[in-house]
Amino acid sequence: MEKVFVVTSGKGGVGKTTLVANLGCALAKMGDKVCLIDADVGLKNLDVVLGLENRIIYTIIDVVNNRVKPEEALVKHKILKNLHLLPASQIATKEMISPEDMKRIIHQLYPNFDYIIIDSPAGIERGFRNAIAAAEQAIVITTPELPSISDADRVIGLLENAGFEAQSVKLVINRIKPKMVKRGEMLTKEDIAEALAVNIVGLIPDTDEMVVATNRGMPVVLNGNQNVSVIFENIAKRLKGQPVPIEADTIVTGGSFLDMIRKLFKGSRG
Amino acid sequence: MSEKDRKNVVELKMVKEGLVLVVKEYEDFEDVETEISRLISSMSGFFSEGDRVMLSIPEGEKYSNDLPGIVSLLQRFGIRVDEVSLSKSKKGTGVATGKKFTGVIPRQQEGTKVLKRNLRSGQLLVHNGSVMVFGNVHPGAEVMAGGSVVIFGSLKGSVKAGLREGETALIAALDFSPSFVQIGGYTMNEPPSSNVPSVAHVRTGRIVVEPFDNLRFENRGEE
Repeated sequence: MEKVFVVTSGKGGVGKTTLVANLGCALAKMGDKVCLIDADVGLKNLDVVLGLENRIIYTIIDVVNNRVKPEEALVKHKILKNLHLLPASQIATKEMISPEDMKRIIHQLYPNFDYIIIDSPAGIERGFRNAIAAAEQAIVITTPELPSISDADRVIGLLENAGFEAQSVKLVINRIKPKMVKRGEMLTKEDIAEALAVNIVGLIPDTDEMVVATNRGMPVVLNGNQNVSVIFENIAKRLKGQPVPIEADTIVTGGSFLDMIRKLFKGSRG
Repeated sequence: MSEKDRKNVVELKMVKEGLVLVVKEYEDFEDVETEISRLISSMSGFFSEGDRVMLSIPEGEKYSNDLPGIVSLLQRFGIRVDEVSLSKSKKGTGVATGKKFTGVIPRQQEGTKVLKRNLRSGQLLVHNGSVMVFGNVHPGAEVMAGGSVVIFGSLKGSVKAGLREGETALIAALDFSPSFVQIGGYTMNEPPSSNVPSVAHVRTGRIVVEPFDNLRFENRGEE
């Protein structure tokens, strides 16, 4: 079973960091030992989203330069004691790390954790190559807008070139506005699945709570609406290989109860 | 660009396998044209009709649009291009992107290439013969083929067919809405899109797109 995931998108601002933080929390809540790695050196955010920015002592750069061991640089989460963060440095640049460094760091952390999730920077340059170097599975996140989908397609192509098998690339769609989808003003998950031809493992609605949670430094999974946190828990379960139908997300992301029943009877695909 | 730089744009090298024409980084395609013409005229007597060269463009990904131009220019001098390398290394096959990009067309391989997956944005498939894709060609993906291109899936990217064969090549797809098509020397921007299986081919000097069950090919005196 694969346990090293990279979350990536190509385009910036689609929710990579938010997904990493919430996925990490969801897995940790289920009792798994989780390590999150912020590969966005120079533009770090993951520590802020997790509310750990004041606890950082060493960063990934210190690990790369052999000043400390990877385990010594880890920051433990305030509430979830089995959730750890390997923070990025804000003053360094992405060129100070090589894909080989990432492989070495993850190799050292590998035996100590059930799951390792890497937060990739936007773009397809060095930072992206560092982030995907040691990952076994990739989660590509996109919003239901054409520029984001086009970038996602490019990123999936790059992942394929880097040796990822088709089944180890998964898609999460973020910021779905159920009302707009209903009115036919937004791309549906079927449209996106057809355009990208990859497996969807999560549908995240666009809610105000997500914004509030991000700004408070408390992922929505830990302190928020049950409806939203259940989606991240569903994604976590799907990554663990549990068969949670994708319709479980649509209950929250919209579609009336009737729509759902109709879908079930149509035997629609995930 | 100074006179000296311009002269360095094109270089002819001799390797074990034969002659290699190297086209380096350039800004203006006209520079390349003048330099190739100058180089070949200055070596008159060296080349004879039907000679073959390999074309190497280390920054080929950037200049892939000019490739047909270079090939046809050489053809005007009676020189045939039988291998194109669009990358820094010489080894590798058909599909790849980014740094690892290789677009080598092996000399022997003139048959049909079959691709059994989707071609995604930024991926380029180059082949000397015909190409069959069992999958989709996404927006931003590109196929360059010496012969015809047949896609069992939806075509939303760009296709250049007949780069070797010329205007007898065709482009077919089950769902036809490419961003750009080229057949031989003919190009078509914003081709009409169609959701029934369709074929693009050259008739009376221009590209036409017709549904598969209503095709009228130009009679070229073949069988």
